[in-house]
Amino acid sequence: MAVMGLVMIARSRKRNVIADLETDPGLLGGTFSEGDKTYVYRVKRLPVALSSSLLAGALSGLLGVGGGIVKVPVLNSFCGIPMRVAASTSAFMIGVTAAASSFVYFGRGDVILPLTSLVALGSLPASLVGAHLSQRVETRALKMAMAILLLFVAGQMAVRSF
Amino acid sequence: LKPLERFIEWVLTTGLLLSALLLVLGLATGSTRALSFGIVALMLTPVSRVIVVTLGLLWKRDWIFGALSLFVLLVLLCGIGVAAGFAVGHSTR
Repeated sequence: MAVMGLVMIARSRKRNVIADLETDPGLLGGTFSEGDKTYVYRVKRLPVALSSSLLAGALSGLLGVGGGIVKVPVLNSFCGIPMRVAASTSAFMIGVTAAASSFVYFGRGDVILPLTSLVALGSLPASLVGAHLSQRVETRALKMAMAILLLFVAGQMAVRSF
Repeated sequence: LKPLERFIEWVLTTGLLLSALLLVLGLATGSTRALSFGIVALMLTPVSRVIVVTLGLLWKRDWIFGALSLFVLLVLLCGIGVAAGFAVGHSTR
């Protein structure tokens, strides 16, 4: 995790976008808009993306850390996916993968309703604000924020293990 | 935004607002039933999004991603099926 944070800092000025809109994005790539500009991106190293999803799922279950902390840096640093697209793709995936297990926990009676409700109500407006803010903040700042978060979580986990 | 993406946005926003409304109502009145419905609405929001995406992709004859989306939907339905099994087990004990 700490290594990924350092990789993100080193690559913070590099962008995974192609300005030429005539470029073929391929089967998994696409276009996205940033301000008044539209860019093309192509997805590279699909096996790395699939492996990172597998690792994210395992880490999420084992250590209780969100899968996005693995998926976003890998998708951005190794798979050619722009930061905003990586973040939104990760959020889109986590919602679905978390839903599958949440039904099982709920049916088993493991969900504490008042606590879950309070946490959900607290995170809903914050996530909406975050999604709006991500459109206004510069890509480099987003990458640096992700790198700092990775270094912080890695440090915290190392301290707790001793 | 394309029509399908716009519809997905609407489904997600409606699910979240409905869930938030029920959770606020449940916390304000102390109603466990409202809290349960709010949590279920929150869990069903991504499922309804996958249903919309699957139907949209199959409608557009995008067979590869339509099939992948259908697989994800089946996994989610399996989760709901297991949860229903647990719930029935609890109620008959």
